[in-house]
Amino acid sequence: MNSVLDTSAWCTFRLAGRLYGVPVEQVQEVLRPTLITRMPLASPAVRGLLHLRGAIVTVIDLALVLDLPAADDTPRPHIVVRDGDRAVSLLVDAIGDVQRHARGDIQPSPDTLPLALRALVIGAIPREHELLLVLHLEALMQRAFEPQGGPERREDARECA
Amino acid sequence: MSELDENIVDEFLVDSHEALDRLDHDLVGLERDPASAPLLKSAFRTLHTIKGTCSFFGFRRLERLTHAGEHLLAKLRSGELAFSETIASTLLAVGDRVRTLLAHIESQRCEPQGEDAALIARLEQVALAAADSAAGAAEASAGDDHDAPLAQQNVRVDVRVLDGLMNHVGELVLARNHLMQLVAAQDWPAVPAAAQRMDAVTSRLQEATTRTRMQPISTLWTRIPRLVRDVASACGKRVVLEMEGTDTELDRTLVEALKDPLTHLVRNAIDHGIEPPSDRIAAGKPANGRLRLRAFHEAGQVHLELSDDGGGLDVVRIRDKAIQRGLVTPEEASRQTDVDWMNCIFLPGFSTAANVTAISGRGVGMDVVRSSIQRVGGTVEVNSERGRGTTLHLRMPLTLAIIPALIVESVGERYAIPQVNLVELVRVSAADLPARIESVQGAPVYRLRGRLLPLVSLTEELHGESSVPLAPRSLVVLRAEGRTFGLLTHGVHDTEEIVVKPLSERLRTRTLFAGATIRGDGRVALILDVSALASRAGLLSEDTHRDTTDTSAAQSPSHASLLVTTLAGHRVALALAGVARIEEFDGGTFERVEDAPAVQYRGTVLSVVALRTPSAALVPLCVQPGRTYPVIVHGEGATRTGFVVDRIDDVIEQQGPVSSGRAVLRGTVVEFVDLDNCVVPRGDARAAA
Repeated sequence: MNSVLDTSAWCTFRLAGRLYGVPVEQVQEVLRPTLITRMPLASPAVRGLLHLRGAIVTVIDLALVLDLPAADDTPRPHIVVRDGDRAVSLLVDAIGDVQRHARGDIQPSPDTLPLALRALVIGAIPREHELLLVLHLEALMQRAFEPQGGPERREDARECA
Repeated sequence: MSELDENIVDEFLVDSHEALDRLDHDLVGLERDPASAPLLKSAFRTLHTIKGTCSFFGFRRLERLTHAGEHLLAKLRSGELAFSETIASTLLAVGDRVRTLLAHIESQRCEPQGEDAALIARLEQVALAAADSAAGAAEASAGDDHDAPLAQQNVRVDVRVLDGLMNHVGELVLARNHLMQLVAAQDWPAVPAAAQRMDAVTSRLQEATTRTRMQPISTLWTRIPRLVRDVASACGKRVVLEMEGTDTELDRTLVEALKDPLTHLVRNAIDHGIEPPSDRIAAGKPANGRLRLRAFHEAGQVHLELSDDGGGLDVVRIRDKAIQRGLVTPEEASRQTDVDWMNCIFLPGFSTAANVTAISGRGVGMDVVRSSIQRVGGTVEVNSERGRGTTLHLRMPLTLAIIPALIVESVGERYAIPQVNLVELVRVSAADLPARIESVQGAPVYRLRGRLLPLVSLTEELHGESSVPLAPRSLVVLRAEGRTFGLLTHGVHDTEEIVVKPLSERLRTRTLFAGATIRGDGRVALILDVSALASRAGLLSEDTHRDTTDTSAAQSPSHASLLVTTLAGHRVALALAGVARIEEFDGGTFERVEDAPAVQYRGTVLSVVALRTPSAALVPLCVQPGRTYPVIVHGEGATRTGFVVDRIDDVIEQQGPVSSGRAVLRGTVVEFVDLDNCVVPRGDARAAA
């Protein structure tokens, strides 16, 4: 968290019309829409895997983690962030610019934010017409990989294929 | 210590550990052959080298100890003393003490305080005692004493450098695959030739790099004689160790990964497998138990067999224990075969209780053995015959970084299956398949050559869907943990060399994937974990068919043969081990290169000949366009040859090695053909064409 408070530059992006930001220090790069290989049996927010210069990167659908309506199938850009010593790619609707703000500008997240989301948001920076929500990446990763759903093992007799 | 000194000390530690293993090996060897001059000389030289280096570093305590040991060896070497078991034990104790001291140096960077007076006194005492009985001991051969200077042909390379190199080569292989795909899709002049050269160089580089990481299995086995000796004497048993295939090479990471499991298995075989001499004699067996280690390469895999001629597994007791512990439900129990029960020893929870180790089979921690072998992509199977012995069969990939894999499809996504798990592909037309699938206790099975093959649908396992629009030739027969099953897919593609990349730890829970790879087109493909697939499908606890290889007698490995019909209409059997791949070519694609028949194959030219029986005359290759011919690819590199046949008939297993000659198989007389003898030199092929 300290690293977040010490910085004053955020990489911004839009999701379901809202403006979000992550500290630039944690962003590795931004990707154009690219081919994703689906990953069956993974948690729902895991969209799949992509190939990035010889490395295999897990793709997270950020909308699903933040409980926003799932986007349609149009290709979307990625923000690749560091998760420990690995990279994780976040699917977003649109990439914004890098904004500089004084650290003191971060305010507690608004009460209107659903409770489940509050743990994923560090705070909000008020801008002219809207709020920039600063995301807590570590908490986000934790939530994204939580196993849930997926086809369960069938105990009953299987039908012949 | 300066950094330079640190490095030298590190190197000294590595060298010394290797040397001590060699010393153990030599000493145990001397017990068997006390008069062996080369072994004595080697043991002496080893201890002498350690002593010299210790004195250089000023490790006085080590120097005094090794000096005393060397002194004893010098007397043995000169023939003043005769080698005995007591001497061996004492010298082995010296080796162990040196290891302890070295471990201290490694962690603390200095010699520990203390003295080894007792051990040194023991050495002197042993020397005195032996001197009395050594009168007239044979003079060890002298005169070959000057050590030939070792040619400076070796370079020490940090393993991390090699690993880095391997990674780069992996990237290069991917880039090459991508390039070759692009080239195939375009029509550029001159580019294909350049790409082909790059392709060939990449393959050679990959081969050479893989080789730098290979180590003979003997590096792993040097410790075994000592281990066998110690465990056997602790258990009061007599064991003769046989090792076969010591120069079989495998990836160094595999050598590392096998170290603990192998130690465990050897310990188990002696402790629980081989009976005490009195019991053995009573059972009409030789008093000395036999422990046999055998390593060999087959079909791109490393095989390691460990067999003993002990009491074998007690299936009845295993069954009682497994049911009592609730590892197998009574319902499942009624369907288990003997081999299923034997494999229960690998279940976690089976072996934890102390009383289980009393079973005359295997003891503690077999589940740990299995999981460590699985972790490196290998499999382990057990086979045993009551009263006759037990065999453990380990299979591992040659290398971990780049493996051959079959690409299959499910719902438009492609998956890689490691070739190590692949048994065969069965061609069934999509229309035929539903009719040939039967149901046994609610589970789908397919009747393959008279045996029931349980079926698993990949799509169902991955997505939970049950309606599978099947593609022809979609039945992939796989094998994991001694179980064979058929996998239904939406399509089977080519085999490819894939570079294995680990999945993020975050994705490893509850998954059917062993990793991922990047394919030629730059897309990611997941690698299927066949064992996980089988157990997820509930296969491992159901009464299902087992492969015939597993029911073979414990001591005699079976060999698979490919049964084919030649163009001339003869039935012929070939050792499957000699078959690199089976491809199909249309008669119209056969060309003449340098006036000999050939086909374009994987970007190179493959020379082809008609497969013939040893007795038949060399005939020209006659093929018709519009008909496809199976071609058996044999050998690598320059000697790679394609043998054209009329059809592939079957794969059969039989006991004992395949020999040349005739045999009656399935009611017909077939001739065995050794493909190595059939490789036709270029000139002859031209003459025949």
